[in-house]
Amino acid sequence: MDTESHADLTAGIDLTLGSDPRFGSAEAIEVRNLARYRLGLGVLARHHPHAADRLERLCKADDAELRPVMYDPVLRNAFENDLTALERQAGENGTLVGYLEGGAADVLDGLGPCERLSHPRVRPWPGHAVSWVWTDLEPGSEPERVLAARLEELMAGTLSKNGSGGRVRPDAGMLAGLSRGAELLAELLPNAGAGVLPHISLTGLVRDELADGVLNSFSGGDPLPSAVLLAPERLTDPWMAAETLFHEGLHLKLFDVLRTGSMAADPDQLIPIPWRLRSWTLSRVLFAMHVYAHLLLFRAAAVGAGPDLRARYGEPPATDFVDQATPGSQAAGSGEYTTTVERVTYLAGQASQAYGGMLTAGGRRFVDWLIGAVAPLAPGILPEPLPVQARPRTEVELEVRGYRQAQPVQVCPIPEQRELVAVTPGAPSFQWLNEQAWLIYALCDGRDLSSLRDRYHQAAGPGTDDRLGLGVAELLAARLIVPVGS
Amino acid sequence: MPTQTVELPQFPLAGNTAPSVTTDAVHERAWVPEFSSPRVQ
Repeated sequence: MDTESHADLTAGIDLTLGSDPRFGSAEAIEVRNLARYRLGLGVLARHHPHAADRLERLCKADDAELRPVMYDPVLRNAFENDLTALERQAGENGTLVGYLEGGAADVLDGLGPCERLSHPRVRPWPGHAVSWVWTDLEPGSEPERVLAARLEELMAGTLSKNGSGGRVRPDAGMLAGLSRGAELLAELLPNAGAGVLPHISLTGLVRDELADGVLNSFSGGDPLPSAVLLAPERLTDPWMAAETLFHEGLHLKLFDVLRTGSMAADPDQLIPIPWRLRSWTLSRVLFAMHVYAHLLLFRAAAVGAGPDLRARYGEPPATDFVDQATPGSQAAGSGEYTTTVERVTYLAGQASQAYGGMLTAGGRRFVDWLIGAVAPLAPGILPEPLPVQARPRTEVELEVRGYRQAQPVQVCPIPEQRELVAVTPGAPSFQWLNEQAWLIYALCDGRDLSSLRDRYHQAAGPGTDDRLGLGVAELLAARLIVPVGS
Repeated sequence: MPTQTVELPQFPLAGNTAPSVTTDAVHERAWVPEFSSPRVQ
């Protein structure tokens, strides 16, 4: 393939991976997360009426003011824990309120609460996204000391228990390496690469020795949200820095996607990994597949990097090698599964074929989208298509008296994405309705079934009774509607 | 207790999409992915 065709190919895949509104676009994913966050603040206000004013003020803040608060690692961890406790109707659910009452979000000036404590303040990629580096924390007041201590605690909770790990205070060289890596990533992949940076709120440096080896980097789900921690050694070469930021930023992107729709229906399903000793959960397979697929693109783009990029950042890696299989693993003896393409092909096969039935519909779409996008870079990655399994029909006998929305109604429409997010009354959980479900939900206003059917047909067209029945069944299962009279 | 009104979608609906209601699941986010390299033997 000539140079121009190769560049066109990687540019096309970069655009596909970076712009998909459900799985790729940082802006679209953030819109959904902000909608969820605002609804969640409303849920907390109902359970903590004494703090309702503070929560409502935050809810009404514009996106630029709200975003640093939502993405603050301590406050986001508290928010998720509180909502989980409410959904499970067990456990402490006032932690976020506690931080807010301590003044954590009294000033809405674009600085998150923990970033406000950092000294010196460093934003490593100001041209691309709002993010900050963990230099040092200098709390002044008692509430600030509580915040700082909690951030230290959350980080410590992710390090190995043998005590060998610890944070590293970044020097000027490390900070320069971090920024340079981000600049290279954004130049190399202006959509998929630059598009991970908005998901990273906090970057810190750590060293740690794990049971399996030396820590390179890690990123946080709810235990340490929106945060990436790297070994300083990953910043010495700009290509390695760029790849590491891409790797961890992709994890954070997928966490943000997962907040707006589950992918794995069976959380405990284990899948053997030939290059490792222990099996992985299906969730972990999806996370790894997501990164490896994107690394195929990264490496293809790197190979095609022009003389200007090479002059400024040095020669890119010329190999697809990841690392050796863990000693004692199935692949250790054979020498297989050391490259990105081998690993992503294996993981794609597991996710789409062997365990595809354990994914949600959203999970199957995710796998198909991701693997389809990078297929030109990995011959053989596309598994043999499986017979399409008819979705099990949830038969429901529609109630002649009709349906009404369960109270209280708490919703946030996102018309630009053709979705509406709602909170289930009672034990709150977030429900994401596509446009068809949204329509049916809105039509369930207490009028009888005949009226519901007529109005639905007017909007959706004739011959759509099956869809109406399916929608009603889904909304009943989500406890968003109830039969009239109940 | 205040409650909201669910407005109808104010855009033309796409053709044959089935209604879908999905939720998120904490178990998918309750972990921290680590990237480590096996020690060189």
